[in-house]
Amino acid sequence: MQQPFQLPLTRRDALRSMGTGLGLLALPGLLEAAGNPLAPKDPHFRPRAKHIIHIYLNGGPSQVDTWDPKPELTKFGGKKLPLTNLTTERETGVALASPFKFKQHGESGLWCSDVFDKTASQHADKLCVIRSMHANTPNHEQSMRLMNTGDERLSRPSYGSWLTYGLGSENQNLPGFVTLCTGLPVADSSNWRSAFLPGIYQGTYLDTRKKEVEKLIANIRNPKIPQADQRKQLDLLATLNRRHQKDRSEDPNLEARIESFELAYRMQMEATDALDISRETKETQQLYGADKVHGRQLLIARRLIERGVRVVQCYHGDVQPWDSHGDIANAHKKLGQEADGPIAALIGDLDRLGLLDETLIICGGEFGRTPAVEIPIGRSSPPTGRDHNHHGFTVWLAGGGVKGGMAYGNTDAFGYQAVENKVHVHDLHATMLHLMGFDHERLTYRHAGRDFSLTDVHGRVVKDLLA
Amino acid sequence: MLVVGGKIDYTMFGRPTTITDLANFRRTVYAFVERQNLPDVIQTFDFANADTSTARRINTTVPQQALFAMNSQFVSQAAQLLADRFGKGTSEERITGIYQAALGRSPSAEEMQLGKQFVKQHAWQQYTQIILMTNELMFLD
Repeated sequence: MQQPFQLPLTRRDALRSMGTGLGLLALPGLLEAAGNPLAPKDPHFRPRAKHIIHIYLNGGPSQVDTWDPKPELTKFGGKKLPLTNLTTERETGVALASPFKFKQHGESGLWCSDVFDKTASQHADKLCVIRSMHANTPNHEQSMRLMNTGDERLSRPSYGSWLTYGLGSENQNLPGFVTLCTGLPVADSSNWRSAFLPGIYQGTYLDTRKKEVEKLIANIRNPKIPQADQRKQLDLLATLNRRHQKDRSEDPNLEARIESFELAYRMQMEATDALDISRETKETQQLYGADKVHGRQLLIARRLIERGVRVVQCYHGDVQPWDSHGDIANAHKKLGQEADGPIAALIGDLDRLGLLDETLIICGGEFGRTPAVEIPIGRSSPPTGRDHNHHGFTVWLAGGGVKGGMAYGNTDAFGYQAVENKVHVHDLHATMLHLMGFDHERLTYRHAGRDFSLTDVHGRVVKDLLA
Repeated sequence: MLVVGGKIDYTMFGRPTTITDLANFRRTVYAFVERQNLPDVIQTFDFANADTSTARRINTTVPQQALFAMNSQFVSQAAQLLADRFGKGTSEERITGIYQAALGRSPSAEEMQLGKQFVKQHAWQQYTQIILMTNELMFLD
């Protein structure tokens, strides 16, 4: 056992006792502003939206089978498409007509296939469908990162981190940016990372395979110490910390840390409350289909934004569920059955609660799919699916200041590439930031010698989408 | 916390270890880093971005760090080790030992009183956990 020892003098005491003025030399370092990185801040101008719920259909849903009907594609079914060679991940063959039926919905007459029948029939006039999206690479990792962080390869902060950095958090008892997934999407946590922004702006990832609320956030409960005991612990801790602070009052970090324990104590209760969907009426739970994970995630998302969380991402599932390289007729049908009901429920619920106007809903994946059928590797099975397509795909928006009941932009006659009013992922980002009250060129952070932003040197706000 | 618990493993060099493994007592510099999947605890404590060169780490003080201190198995275990390390003797002897090991000084009369009162109603492990959570231990003067 070590000999007990006594520190002769702390550095601080030594400086103080060494005569006039020397103690003050320590002061500049001590006054380094600690501050609260999550303190609420105003955006650049009055925002239309205060929250974002991103329904992320990871894997790449096919636009010609969902929101972008292409009669020409049906005509060309089984024949080679008259298009120049567009890069795809794998080999593609002749045109594959959509196996799904398209209908018009609402007063706007918005087209949608039966994959998302409930969402379209209930809410078509609220949706702003961007048919002319395009990205850079027909691969998941790159496109996931592009959609989430604005860069395919380099380590950049996700848009959720940028927004938490710019806005802070309205509710100090909950994380400002939360991501939900049953497992992990492709590219894992680089989708919600904070990169060079302070680590606190990183997305809080919740693995929704865990149903018990207490397992969802790390260290949210003490399994051994009851709450009454913990309160006593924190009281004594605060007493000791305050005594310690008396001689060190110029250090703001000490105060910040004292407060952080009180916040953590409150977070224990508020976070577990926010994630507990059993507190909703049976009716609401049934509406969302909350016994299944997709409904449960969206209901949790609604509860979180009600409590001031800024950005919630709900991934459809582990890895890349919408990546229907084969058997698209059955695969997309099943995926639609999983997603459609909960999405329709969420929009309706937000509307009923008066939250739709201040919540921007984004729905889509990292890219789309090819109108041409994919040739399975080694030609081992008949071709029945579609390959990745970053040249043209669909993302729709709702709420939060966007125009409803419209389709913006166009792909070519077959739905392969965006040709009219093209919207790059960077443009989508610029528009998202605009709706949340930011000029995308002015929300910056200095790193490695220059100012960085989500859109970097790209991006324009698509004004036609704004209500 | 590892030093104070008396169980730190000073083995240098060799293969990295998993930081979230409770049986791992090596220094954090030997933690296994998968840059696409940094453990939460590492991110919570302002670990440098593993994808680029970081000249200077950002320092934050946030509730998630407090939650780790209050509720994690790591801190719980460290507190138990510290309590066991001074598991014998009178309350006064034990509290003095704990203070000297953790904070490098003897407790004041008031601190001794507060400590003795606390351990009358709570487990020693809960007391040592408080000492491990103090600003005095966490911040260098």
